[in-house]
Amino acid sequence: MSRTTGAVLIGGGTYLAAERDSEIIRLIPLKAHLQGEITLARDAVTLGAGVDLQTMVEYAWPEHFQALAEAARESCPSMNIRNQRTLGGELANSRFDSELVILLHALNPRLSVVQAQESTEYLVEWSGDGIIRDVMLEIAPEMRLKYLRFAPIPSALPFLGVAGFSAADGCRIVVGGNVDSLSVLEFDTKDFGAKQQELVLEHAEDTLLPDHFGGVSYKRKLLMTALTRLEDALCG
Amino acid sequence: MRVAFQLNGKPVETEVEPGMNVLEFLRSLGVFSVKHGCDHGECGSCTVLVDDKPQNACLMLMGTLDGERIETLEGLNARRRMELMQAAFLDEGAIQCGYCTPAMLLALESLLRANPKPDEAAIREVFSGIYCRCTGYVKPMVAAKKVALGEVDG
Repeated sequence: MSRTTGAVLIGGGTYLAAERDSEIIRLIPLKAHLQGEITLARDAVTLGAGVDLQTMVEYAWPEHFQALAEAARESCPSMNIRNQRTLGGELANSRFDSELVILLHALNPRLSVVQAQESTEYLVEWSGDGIIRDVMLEIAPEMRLKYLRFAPIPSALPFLGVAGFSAADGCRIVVGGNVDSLSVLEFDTKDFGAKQQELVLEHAEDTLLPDHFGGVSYKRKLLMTALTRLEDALCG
Repeated sequence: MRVAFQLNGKPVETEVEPGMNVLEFLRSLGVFSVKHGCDHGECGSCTVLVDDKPQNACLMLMGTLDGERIETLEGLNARRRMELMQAAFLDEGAIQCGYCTPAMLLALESLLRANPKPDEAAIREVFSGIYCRCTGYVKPMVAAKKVALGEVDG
């Protein structure tokens, strides 16, 4: 379809509404064609890309994934809009200050992506091309998941968001918020100690952007605090 | 493009500009309970129910409406529960300028359909998408709790 003259594939099309573009000739809403259900199996949870954020808030998640409900709520404080925004749109937009995007990068789920053919890709490696059909979260042995946000009030976007995932064979740390790119670092040990924290700091430091909440050095110190708390949550 | 959907229980099939938003369309039909506020999904005064869930009409394009079930206050006015909700809002003085009131009533209706005995947290949550500059939510919360507890004289 995208090869047709004038056809555009847009993720998170809700944002189109504000454009009020009278030149849109035909609209094919992806949401109507994507599954909007969450399926729980013994070793994985599969979410259709059409699942809306409010469904994620209300879903009875297994203990390992409780943080997802909170992240879906924090990604958008308005229930009205959570009823409209979908998981697929959230990932396609890939905003660096979206709690859900940051947390899902830590989980690094497998995406079924439709282009000319369907393929499976991990979120962290996904180029952004194609239409996400579903998202599979594997339940890993000994897994732990934690998200920490720093914002002036609960309904404000986080200027710093840090997510950590650990399992028996390693851990993954993601730093987002007001940054110029998500910082994702993986370790092949589940021990998230001082050495790993220093590596995350080094990796993330260049992505932090100064704003009216503070400069880079302040945010670096805040990130140090967050990483210490993550150590407690992932290893304690 | 042609879209077919239900509006307040009645089928609608119409030719629309797909880029027009649902708010504009509804008001062009004379459905004035759906208020024109911020146009960007910030205020929620254009709330409608889509398959029982509150959503912002300003963020919905007509081209996405096919097959949906839309409800506005006009379609719920004669129902008993709506009468009770309106009575509670009046009794408690939960209305000042009234601009967000249709949205609050619809959001509350949506909540009560899913959960007839909601607690305060659930009521706060369903009002989270609606911006009220007058009341500070205190009186709408009291009115909503009265409805939930069946304490309205209607």
